[in-house]
Amino acid sequence: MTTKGVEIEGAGTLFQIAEPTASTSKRRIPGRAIGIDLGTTHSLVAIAPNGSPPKVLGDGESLVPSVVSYASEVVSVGEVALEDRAVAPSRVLASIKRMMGRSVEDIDFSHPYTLDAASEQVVRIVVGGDSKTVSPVEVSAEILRHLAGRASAALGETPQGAVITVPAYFDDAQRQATKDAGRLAGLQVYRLLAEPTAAALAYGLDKGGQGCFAVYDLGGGTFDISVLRLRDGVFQVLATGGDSALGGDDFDRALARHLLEQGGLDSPTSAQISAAQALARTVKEALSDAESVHARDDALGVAVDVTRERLEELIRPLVRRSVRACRKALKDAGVVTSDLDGVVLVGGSTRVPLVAREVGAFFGRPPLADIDPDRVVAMGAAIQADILSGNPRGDVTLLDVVPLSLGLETMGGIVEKIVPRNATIPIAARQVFTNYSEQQTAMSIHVVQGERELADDCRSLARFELQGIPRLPPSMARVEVTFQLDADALLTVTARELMTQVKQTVEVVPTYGLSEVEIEQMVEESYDYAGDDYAARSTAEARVELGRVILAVEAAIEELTPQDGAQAAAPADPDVGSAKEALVGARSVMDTGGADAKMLNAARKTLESASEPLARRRMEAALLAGMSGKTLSQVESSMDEEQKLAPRRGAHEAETVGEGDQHA
Amino acid sequence: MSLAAVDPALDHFARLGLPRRWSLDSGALQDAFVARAKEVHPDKYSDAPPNVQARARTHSSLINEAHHVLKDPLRRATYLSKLAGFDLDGAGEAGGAPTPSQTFLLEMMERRDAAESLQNDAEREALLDEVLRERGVTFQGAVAALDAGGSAAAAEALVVVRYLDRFVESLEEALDDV
Repeated sequence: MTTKGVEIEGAGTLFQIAEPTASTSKRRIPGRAIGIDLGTTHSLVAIAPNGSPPKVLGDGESLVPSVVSYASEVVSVGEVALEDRAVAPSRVLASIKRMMGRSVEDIDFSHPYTLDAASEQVVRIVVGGDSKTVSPVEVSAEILRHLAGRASAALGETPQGAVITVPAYFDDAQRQATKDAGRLAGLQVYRLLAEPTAAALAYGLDKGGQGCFAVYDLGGGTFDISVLRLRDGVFQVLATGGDSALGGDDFDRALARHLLEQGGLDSPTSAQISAAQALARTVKEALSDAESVHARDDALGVAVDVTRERLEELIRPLVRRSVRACRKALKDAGVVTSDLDGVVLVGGSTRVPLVAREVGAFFGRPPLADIDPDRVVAMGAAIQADILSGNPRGDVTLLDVVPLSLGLETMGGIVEKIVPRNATIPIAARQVFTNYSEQQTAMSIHVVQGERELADDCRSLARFELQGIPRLPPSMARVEVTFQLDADALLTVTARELMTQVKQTVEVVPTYGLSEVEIEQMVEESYDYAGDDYAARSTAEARVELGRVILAVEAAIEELTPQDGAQAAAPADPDVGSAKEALVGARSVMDTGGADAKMLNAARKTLESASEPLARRRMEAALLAGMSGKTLSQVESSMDEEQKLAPRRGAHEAETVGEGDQHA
Repeated sequence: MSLAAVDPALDHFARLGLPRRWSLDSGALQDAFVARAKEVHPDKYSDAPPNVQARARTHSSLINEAHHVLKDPLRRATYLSKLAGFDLDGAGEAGGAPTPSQTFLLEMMERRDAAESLQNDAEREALLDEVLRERGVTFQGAVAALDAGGSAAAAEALVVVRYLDRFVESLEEALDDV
C-alpha cells in the first residue's frame, strides 16, 4: 500500500488518500519489455519480443542464484556473490524473498544475519562494519538490476518495462515491496504477475489449451496452488491458495536436522547449520535420481548414507501440508478433481519424486511437467510483458484474483471482511463511516489482510485517520471510503465526504514496508535514514491509537450504564468494573510525557483485552438495538440470551463486495 | 482505444446484460462476464492516458463485483431483495431487514440451547441435516417469492435463512471441535 497525505476540500469531491505509484507517462515501446522470475533461491529473466516464443536468457547459466554480496565495495550478485560466502557469511545475503514486506517481528525463522535493532517496522540487515544496513527491497533491487543488465545485452538496448512474478499467495505488503524493488532497479513495473498464472500462460499458449487446470507451484521458499479456467484466450483464475513460507528450503532444513543428528552435533553453530543445509540440498537433489546417496562433509564430521525413503519420511509432513492447501483451493474454486483437464507442476522442488507422486495421487492423474519447471514462470512473465508492451499476441486476457481477504478492524479487534479472498481483481469495496457523537471529529481505520477473525491474527496493512469530520449529530457525518485493489492486487484507498463542505486531512501509514516518500528518497539514492523521525512517528501513532481505544471504551461504558436514575438500584456490572480499572491505568500512561511507542502499545493492549467483553456485548447488542430502536442497556437487560447471535454489524454501515453471508 | 463512461446507475444484472431475476443460467452468466471482463480489462489500456486507465479499472471492478454477487445463489437473492427495497444489511430504519417475530427468535434460542446439550456427533449430525433441509426449503421459498415479485415475503425468508446459516455454522464448529 502506498501512502500520501492529502488535503481534502469540497462536498462530494473525490479525495485521494493513497494512490498507486504513478506510472511514468513514457509511451511503451512494443517488444522492449522483459519477464522476471524473482525467486527465493534463484531468479531468471526471459524475453518474448513482438510475438516471438519466450526465451530464457543466459545460455547455460540462466538460473542466477538470488544471492547478493556486500562483502566488498562493489556489490555483486549471483554466482560471484556466492564466492564471498566463505569469507563473509553475514554480508552475503540469500533467500531475501522470505523477508520481503515483513516486519522484524515476522522474521521468526533462523537466518545468519544481523538485523538492525533500531529498525522497528522495516527490516534492515547490517552488512558492513560501519553499520551500513540494507532493506530486503534494496537487496532484491540488486538482483533485478543484474537481470535487467543481462537482458540489455541480449536485446541490444535497455529494457523499458518489466513483468515481475510473485507467489500468488503474496499479500499486499509483499507485493508492494516487490514493486518497490523494481522501481528501485530503474524498471517500469508493468505488472506483478502471480507465478502459477505465469506458468499457465506459458503452457496454455503452448498447447492452445481449453479447459480447467490446476497449477501446483513449489519453489525454494514459497508454495502456490491455482485453479484456472482457460477459454478463448481468457485465463480466469478461479481460486488460489498456498503458503508463502513453504518450499524446497524447508526440505533442506528437515534433512539438515537429520544429518546433524546423525553426525552427533546436538548444538550446532550457525555456520554448521548452513553447511549442513548446503549438504542436505545436494543430497536431496541427488536423491531425485538415485535411491541412496552417501552424504559426507569432513569439516562437519558427517558421513552417512541417506536413502530416498528416509528423505521422504522427513519431508512427507511438508508435502501433505501442500496437498491440504490444494484441497482448499479446489473447494474455493467450486470444482472437484474430476472436473480438471490437467495438473501442471511448476518450481524446482517439484522434481522431488515424492511431490510428483503425492500430487498425482491427490488429483488422480499424472501431473504435467513438459516445460522445465524452473523456467516456465519466467517464460510466462515474458509473454505477459510482451502483451503489456503493446503486442496483443492473439488477444490474451488474464483474470487473476486476490489471494487473501481484505478486512477492517472493528470494535473489539474483530475483522469485518470487505473483499473476500479469490475475488477477481481489480475490485473495489465501499464503506460509509458515520460519527458516534458530535464530539467525534476523527476516525481511525485499520486495514488488515487474512482469513482470521481477529485483527491481531491477520496481516496489518495500514492504519489511517479520517480527520476533520464535521461536528454533526451522531450518524449525520458520513464519509464514504473506497478500497480499491488494482490488477496487481495492490490496495489504494480513496474517500468521499458525503454531507458537508468541511476540509479534511487524511494520511495513510503502511504498517510494514516503505512509504512512498522513503522509496522516492531511495530512488534518488539518498539512503539517509532519519531514525529519530521514525521513532517520533511510531510514538505519535501509538498515542493516537491509545487515545482512540480510551474514547471507545469510555463510550461503551456510558452506553452500558443504565439510565433513568436506575443507576443506584442496578447491581454493579463486573465487565464495566474491570474496564474502568484498566482505563485508569491507560490514562496514566497517556499522561506520562516520555512514554514511547512500546509503552503506549502495551497500555493499549492491556486496555483492549480488559474491555473486550464490553466491546463484544456492545457489538452484539447493536444488531438488536437497530431492530427494536431501544437503547443498548435496555436491549441487554431484556434480551440477554440473544447475545449469542453472531453480530452482523459493527459501528458503521457498510456496502461491501458480496451481499450477505458466504454460506450458499 | 476508446472506452465508454461508467454508468453508476446500472445494477449488477444490467451491467452484465442479464435479466433481473433470481433464476439465472450459469453458462449465460459466465459468458456475459468473460466477454465484458475481456473488453474492459486494464491490460487492454496499458498504454492509454491515465484517465482512460482509471476508467478501465472502474469498469473492471464493477463487472468483477457484479459477477461475484450474481454467481452465488444466496448473494444473488440478497442483492435482489436489496434492489426491491429490503436491504438485509441496512440499519433498522425503513428499508432495513425485516425483524423476525419474537416467537421465531425464542424458538431459535431454544434450539441453540438444545444443540449445546447434545451428547454426541451422531446427534449433532442428525440435527445438522435437519437444519440444512429446513434451510434449503426456506431458501427455495425465498427465491420463488423473489421471482414472483413477493419482495417482502422473500426478505423475511432470507432473514430466517441467515439465522439458520449461523446455526449451521455453530453446529459445524461443534463437530470440528470434537
